[in-house]
Amino acid sequence: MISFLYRYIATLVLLITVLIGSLNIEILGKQISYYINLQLILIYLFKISNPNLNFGKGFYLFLISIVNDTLNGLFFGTSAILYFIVFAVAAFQSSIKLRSIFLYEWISFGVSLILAYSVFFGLIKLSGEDIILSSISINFVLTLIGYPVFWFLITNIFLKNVNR
Amino acid sequence: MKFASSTNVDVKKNIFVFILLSFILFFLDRSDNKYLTNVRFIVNDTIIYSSLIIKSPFSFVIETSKNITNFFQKKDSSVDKNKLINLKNKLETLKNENIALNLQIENFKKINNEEIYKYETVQAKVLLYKSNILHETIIINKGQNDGIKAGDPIIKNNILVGKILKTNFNSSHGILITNINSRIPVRIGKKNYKAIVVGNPKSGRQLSLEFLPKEYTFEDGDIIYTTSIDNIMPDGILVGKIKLRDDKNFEAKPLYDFSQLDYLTVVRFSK
Repeated sequence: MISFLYRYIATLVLLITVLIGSLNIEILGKQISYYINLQLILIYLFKISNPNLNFGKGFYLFLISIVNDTLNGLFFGTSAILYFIVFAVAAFQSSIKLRSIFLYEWISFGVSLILAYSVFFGLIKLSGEDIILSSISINFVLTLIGYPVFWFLITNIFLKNVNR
Repeated sequence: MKFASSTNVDVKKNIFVFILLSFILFFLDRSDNKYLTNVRFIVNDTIIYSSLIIKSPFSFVIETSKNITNFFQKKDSSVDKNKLINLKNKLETLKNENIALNLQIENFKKINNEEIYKYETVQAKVLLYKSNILHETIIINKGQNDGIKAGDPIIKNNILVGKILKTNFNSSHGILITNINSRIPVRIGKKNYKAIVVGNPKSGRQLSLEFLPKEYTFEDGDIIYTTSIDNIMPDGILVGKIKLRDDKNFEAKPLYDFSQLDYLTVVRFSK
């Protein structure tokens, strides 16, 4: 059971956050997903914490992205591109490091976010939709600031219990 | 990029394959290909209804906790006399508003010389509400099989809530009028100024009025309602209200309370 959990826990947690994103939990009249992109934080953190993690060779990640696109009314592939950009940066970061240095990981997460959000902005413009720059900026900043909190939760509580 | 092990070489290869696949999928979906549209409908319907089942335990926990909180809040408020007085005042205001709205509806009936909606309507339940950085969307449980098409207006109690964005076989995505990508042709007040209502990017619960004539004068409480220019919307659906701040500055507020998204009506308008 533990080995099953260890194998699929990242995928399950990611899927649950996508589904929970559509629950009616609001802060100041907006859902949590308006303020922070939990999926991008989790993808990066899971990959950094476990360099061998590959989300079923990327297939599960792709499936979750399709679920996210459907629930958000986005064109198929939009979320997948963002997820794989962050995943690629995390894979690169986890392959070059000898030991975990939080600050470098955080900076590299910031770089992956800049890349992902720039591509997202381009894709939305291609779709012919308007996007509010202040919303995307708030989401970017809070996702970046939220990283240390989730890093602490995942590396110190979550993964320790799973490894037990 | 350098990857440490052979497993990671596979991962690297897969990342590029999936990114490429995602771009192809994005452009195919955007192109509205006939054959792919049907596949998209099936995939969307399956995901929407499956996600409802999977997330039902979470929804149950949240609803229960909300009910418990409401129960205790109600106990507190019963003691608070000031709150009671405020509520009575509010009730009075709402009664008056109701009278004013009924008069407006009667006027619309006179204008149209018939019932307000000569179009067929479909009752729908809101399955999901989502507000992300891009837009506020709802997913309803009726789709193409019920005759709903993209562009159809979504209303509740004679008030415009939004319009259908995309349809699937048995579900549809709708955007709210407060969405920046929603554009509704409207008339405003007794002078019938024509404009386009767009969601206000600065405030999620306000509307912007674009293409207003240069010289306009609003009165406090002027009603905004749809107009059938270019056959985009049926005529005479209530949209919002003007609230004057001073002579030239005003706020356009939607009439619909967006926290009450449960059951809605879709007007089968698009041809």
